[in-house]
Amino acid sequence: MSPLKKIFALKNKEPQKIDTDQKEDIKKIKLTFFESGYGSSKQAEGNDIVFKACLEDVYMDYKGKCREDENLQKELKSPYVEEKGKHETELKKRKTALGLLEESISNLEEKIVLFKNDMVEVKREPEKYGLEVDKKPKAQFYLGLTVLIPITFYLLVFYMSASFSAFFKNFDSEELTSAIFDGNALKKAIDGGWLEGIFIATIPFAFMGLGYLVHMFQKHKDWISYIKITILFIVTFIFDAILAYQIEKKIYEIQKTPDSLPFDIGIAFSSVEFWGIIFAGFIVYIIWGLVFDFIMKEYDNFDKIKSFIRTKREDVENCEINISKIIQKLNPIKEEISGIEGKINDLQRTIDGFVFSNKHYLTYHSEYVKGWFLAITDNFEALKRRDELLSKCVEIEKSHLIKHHINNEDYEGRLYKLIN
Amino acid sequence: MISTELKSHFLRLYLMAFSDDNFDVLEMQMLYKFAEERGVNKEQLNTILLQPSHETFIPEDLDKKIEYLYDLAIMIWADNIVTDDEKTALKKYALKFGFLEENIGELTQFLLKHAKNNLPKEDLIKLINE
Repeated sequence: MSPLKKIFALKNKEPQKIDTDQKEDIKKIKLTFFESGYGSSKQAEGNDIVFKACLEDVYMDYKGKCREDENLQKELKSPYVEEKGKHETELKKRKTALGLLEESISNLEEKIVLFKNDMVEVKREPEKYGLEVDKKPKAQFYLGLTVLIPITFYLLVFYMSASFSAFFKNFDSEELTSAIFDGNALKKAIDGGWLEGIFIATIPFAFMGLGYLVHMFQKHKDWISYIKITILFIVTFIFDAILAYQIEKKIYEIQKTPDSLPFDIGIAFSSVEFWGIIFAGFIVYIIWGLVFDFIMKEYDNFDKIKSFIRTKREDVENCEINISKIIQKLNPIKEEISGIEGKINDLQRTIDGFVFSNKHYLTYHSEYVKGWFLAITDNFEALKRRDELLSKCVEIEKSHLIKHHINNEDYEGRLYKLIN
Repeated sequence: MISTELKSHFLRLYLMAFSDDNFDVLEMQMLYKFAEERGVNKEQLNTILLQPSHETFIPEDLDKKIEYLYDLAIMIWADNIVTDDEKTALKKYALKFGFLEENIGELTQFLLKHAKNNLPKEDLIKLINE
């Protein structure tokens, strides 16, 4: 054999011994039973009552021998041992599954504890979780908000008034004092018609919208955003300048003398009111934009922590859902385990007990009965007496088989389980 | 990518592991790991785990036994790493297939060596039968 073949050599299977001796033994035993039946029948003259007692004796004798015959018991019990093995494998599988599921539960529980801990810790040390936030985002946010709200009101009022003055107001000499700022702008605009009212009331929001856009564009730090922001500022400035120019022009028209030059940009630029309107509007608008941007950033800061906590909370919920799913799987497995354990116990009791082989017993029983009947036929010449005895013995045999439940040939062995 | 055939072969090997008396949760986890690394998902394994009854199938034919073990050796090399756990598993299966205990070490080494070089199965069988 080549060295490689040697490596791949298989274990020798135990050769199955064909037990010829055993077969011989069976023949001998059968003959013994036949002879015993014949002898007893001859001795008792085929008496049916004696036959009954003899059958009982044969039965008990065989039962005892069957119990003591280890080889026979091993052979009879082998299907039960095999079945028990199968059940034990199934049990092992279920227990492994149970172990794995229980471990998954404890892993998930550990995760939940960690998530909950993170939810508390993130407020104390946000950097630990990769969150770059200000330590006091709330204070700065509220401080900014306190500044932003009055500035918002200011812008509302200023742009309402300035827009009213620029677009709708008819200046006369008495009202020159309130040319730039008109306290009754909104009321007057409403009086002028509801469309005029809405126009004046909503125009400041266009400026705030521009401020909001500036904040949004600033989030993307690329050159396109910066160009957009610059354009937004230029547009706002131009809009402000138009308002200032309109107002200034109206004031100039009222105050002009026949010698006055026609109003133009040069006159507007050299006017104090013109620049007053621009500063009171545009500069405050820029301040509003900066404060708004600042408080939005602060809000984002504590929103980061909030969203972190929210994510963790969702993680915890997911873990809990998974745990409940696993628990649902656990119960059927536990039930199966107890079912399999029950079966194994039952099979073990069978294995610990003994199996009475109906088939084997019937072989010997038949031989005995054959011997008994043959003796009757041999020894009784009177036909009537012989038939009478034979029919009585047949009845006795039948009732014997019924009594010991051997009349049914559907199963080969009767189980005598060990009772705990 | 591991083939479907190899996957089902893996599942067969996995089944065999159950008939081992020393099979425990740790070993099971190792199999889970192997499976995951080789594209057999947890669900597939769980299905088998919770499936009612299986006949443990061990090939009778020597060539088939070698083929199966060689498949496992190929599978072990699938990730280009051979861990001690994987070696132990291969040895365990070889024992289960009825090879002599004293040859197990040499046998597994031989299979792993050729699996590494991707020697075709038929050539391996020929080599052994020479």
